[in-house]
Amino acid sequence: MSAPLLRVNQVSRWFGGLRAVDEVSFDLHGHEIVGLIGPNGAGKTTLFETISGFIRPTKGAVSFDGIDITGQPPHRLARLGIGRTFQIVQPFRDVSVLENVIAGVVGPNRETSDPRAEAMAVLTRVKLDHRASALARNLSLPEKKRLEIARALATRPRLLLLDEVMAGLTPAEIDDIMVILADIRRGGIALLIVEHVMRAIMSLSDRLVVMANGRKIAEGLPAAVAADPAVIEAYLGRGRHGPA
Amino acid sequence: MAQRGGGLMDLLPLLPQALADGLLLGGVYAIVAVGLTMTFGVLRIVNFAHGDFLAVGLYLTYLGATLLGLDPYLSLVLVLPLVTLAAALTYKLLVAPVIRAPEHNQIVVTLGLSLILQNAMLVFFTADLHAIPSVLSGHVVRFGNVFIQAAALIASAVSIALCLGLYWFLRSTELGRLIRASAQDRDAALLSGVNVDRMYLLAFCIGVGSLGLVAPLIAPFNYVSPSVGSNFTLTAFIVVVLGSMGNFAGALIGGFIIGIVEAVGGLMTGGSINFIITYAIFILFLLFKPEGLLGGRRL
Amino acid sequence: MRPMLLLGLATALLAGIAPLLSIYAQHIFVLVALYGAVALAWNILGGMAGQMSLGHALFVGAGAYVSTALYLKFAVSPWIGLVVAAMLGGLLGALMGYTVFRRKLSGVYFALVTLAVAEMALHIVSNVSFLGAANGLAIPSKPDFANFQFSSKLGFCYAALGVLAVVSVTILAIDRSRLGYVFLAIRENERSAAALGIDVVQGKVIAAAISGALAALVGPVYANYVLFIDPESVLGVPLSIDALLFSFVGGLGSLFGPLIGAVVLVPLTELLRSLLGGRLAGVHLIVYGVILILVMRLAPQGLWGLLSASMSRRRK
Repeated sequence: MSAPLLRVNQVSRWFGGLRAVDEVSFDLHGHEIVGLIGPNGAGKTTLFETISGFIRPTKGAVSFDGIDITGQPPHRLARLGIGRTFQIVQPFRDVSVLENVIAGVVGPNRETSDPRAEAMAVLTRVKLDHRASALARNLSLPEKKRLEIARALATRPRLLLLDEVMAGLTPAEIDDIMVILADIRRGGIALLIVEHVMRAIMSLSDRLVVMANGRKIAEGLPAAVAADPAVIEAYLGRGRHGPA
Repeated sequence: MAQRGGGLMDLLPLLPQALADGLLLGGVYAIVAVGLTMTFGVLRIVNFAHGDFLAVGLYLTYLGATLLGLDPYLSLVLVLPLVTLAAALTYKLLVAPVIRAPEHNQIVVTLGLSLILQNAMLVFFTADLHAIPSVLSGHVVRFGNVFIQAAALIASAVSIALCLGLYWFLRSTELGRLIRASAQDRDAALLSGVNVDRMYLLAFCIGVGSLGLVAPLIAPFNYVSPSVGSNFTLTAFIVVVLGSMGNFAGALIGGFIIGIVEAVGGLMTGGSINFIITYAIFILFLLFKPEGLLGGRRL
Repeated sequence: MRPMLLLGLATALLAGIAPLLSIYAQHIFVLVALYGAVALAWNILGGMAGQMSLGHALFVGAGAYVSTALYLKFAVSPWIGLVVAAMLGGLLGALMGYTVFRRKLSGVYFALVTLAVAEMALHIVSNVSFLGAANGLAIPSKPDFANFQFSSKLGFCYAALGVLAVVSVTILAIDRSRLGYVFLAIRENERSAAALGIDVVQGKVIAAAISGALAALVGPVYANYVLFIDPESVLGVPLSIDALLFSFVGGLGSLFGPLIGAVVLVPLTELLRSLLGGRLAGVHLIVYGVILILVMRLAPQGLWGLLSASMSRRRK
């Protein structure tokens, strides 16, 4: 296997006495879709925040494409090629969908010949181009989710971190997102997805990483992980967050 | 007023008096800041009209003296409820509607209120300074070479008592606990059936209403003028930040420190340099220790 | 290209109207242009980038004092004074911004710092005799282009219009560039902005610097127009409040709303002052306070918001 795109190495994050993330390690390679799952409170979001630069790890290191990015601020990570969406979608409400995406195009401060055209291309990929001139605040929830993805895509990431992007969507809407994500992966972008919607993450992911109580308890192919007794125990023991 | 040009050695004998003046000035700052600690430190409500309620209280005390012949210590009984009522009205009409709005809404709305209050007082009472007569006016207590106004001493004592009282109230009573819960996690409190709005109203009234207690107490040794409030507002915010936000002991300590610094600074340099020192301290703290003297609390 | 063209046309139009106005109207013209420029500059930081300053008078005062002092004490032409003023304003804005923003403190702290620094400057200048202390500095009347003093009010109309144009061009340039999006993102959601590759602290500092530099340009023009400055008039809280007020009334989120605010409120204030004057001097401030509250509660988008809402309704 080639060198990993993302390497999470013994990352820990403590809040006082609480070990929210405890020595978690895994690799992610280019063109991979890795799913990060686990019961509520497992530390997935905290791990996400450390990888995307919003929280410093207490211990451990994160490297991207061979470069150590531990503790680097989010804007620098975005410029290196790590994009992310947020669980609670917050588009820039008072401007248009297109303007939102243009912000993503120009944000990383690199050379762009035609930000508008580039933004429109991204909107087409997430099938929001027909809403380009609509005000972001007037979008429906699934549309806002797609805008969130589009905005992150506009930064031309090589790795996209998706934080519960399917939360609150109907099964049909989830299918739409899954099509978009598969298309994104085909475009050469790796995905690290935190998700509770089991059927989605099971079918999308090449590999799964399972966390519970801050630790990684399993890693591997979806089918293998699903059958892992430790994983079942973690979910059943805490009250399973059921499949969609 | 100290003379410039005399060496520091000349000023040394004046130092104890300056320190005493500073402690008492600090007591006033502290007691005003304690109320702001409640509204800004605990509730995170930005109220730029805080000091103006003090001015309102002072003018009410003045009216009590000139119209009803009441000594400030007596008119306290009227001024306190009136100011508290004003606080309640302010909360209901101005603050509550914008409590969940972006911060700048609160800033602007209370700024507008400050403009209205200050200038209404200016129009009604003119910019003339007024002194308010009291049984304790001019009554000084002597400690060696240092002369302290009796009224100022009382105000300082009440200041400390108020601090301790509010601290105990928030920490140890049921109501205090509810207020803290409402401020820390509004949604969780709502889910637990707490009437968050009423808690905020109560806390706001305590924080601003306390100025109705302060005003009559400082009336015997403070001139009243329309702009007395705005200076107190900024200084109170500075004290609250210095004292680590939400920390009543911090507000007390911060107030005394600022008071001493201003008094001693005024001794050494004369003029209005003492304000500059306060603002400089504020900026230095923001640069190096934004969490304040006692640290800990997240900004 | 169109907005710039419109701006050019508007400027030409105003320049053409100016000579036709009465002396008093020209005076109002100058005031509206200068106050409007300060409000527009304030809005770059407060409206576009979302960081509220309560002490913008600092920049105007700094510009006025540095230019006037250079002229009176060192015979430096106020034309150079303008450049120095802008540099000083930009530096002050950047320093203040950096102090607060790098600590990731909330907006209230920035508001407090701007207020404190402006007050500090007022007290410092009031105690420095080189700068005229509390009595201020008077500029002898020597109408000459090199002294930035014009023999007729018309000259000052053009000078004020010039400053207004410079500020407006800057705003349009920002709006069309990446910086406009940087400010937008920072104003709307800082976390999202960071995730999009935007250095939030840097963006805020740049906004403060530009805003300060432009506001400072007004100082020298005002000083040479009135031929007198003192701490209260150019460093006082009322001026800071004006900048904020005109922006809110005109429309915080818009580019040129603050100018609308100035156009409406400056003549109104002059009217109130001439009607009431003396004893009732504070009344216009009471009116300001009421307007601030009403705008915040009823029309947060300001006059510009009301205008554009009614226009889009008509289009439908």
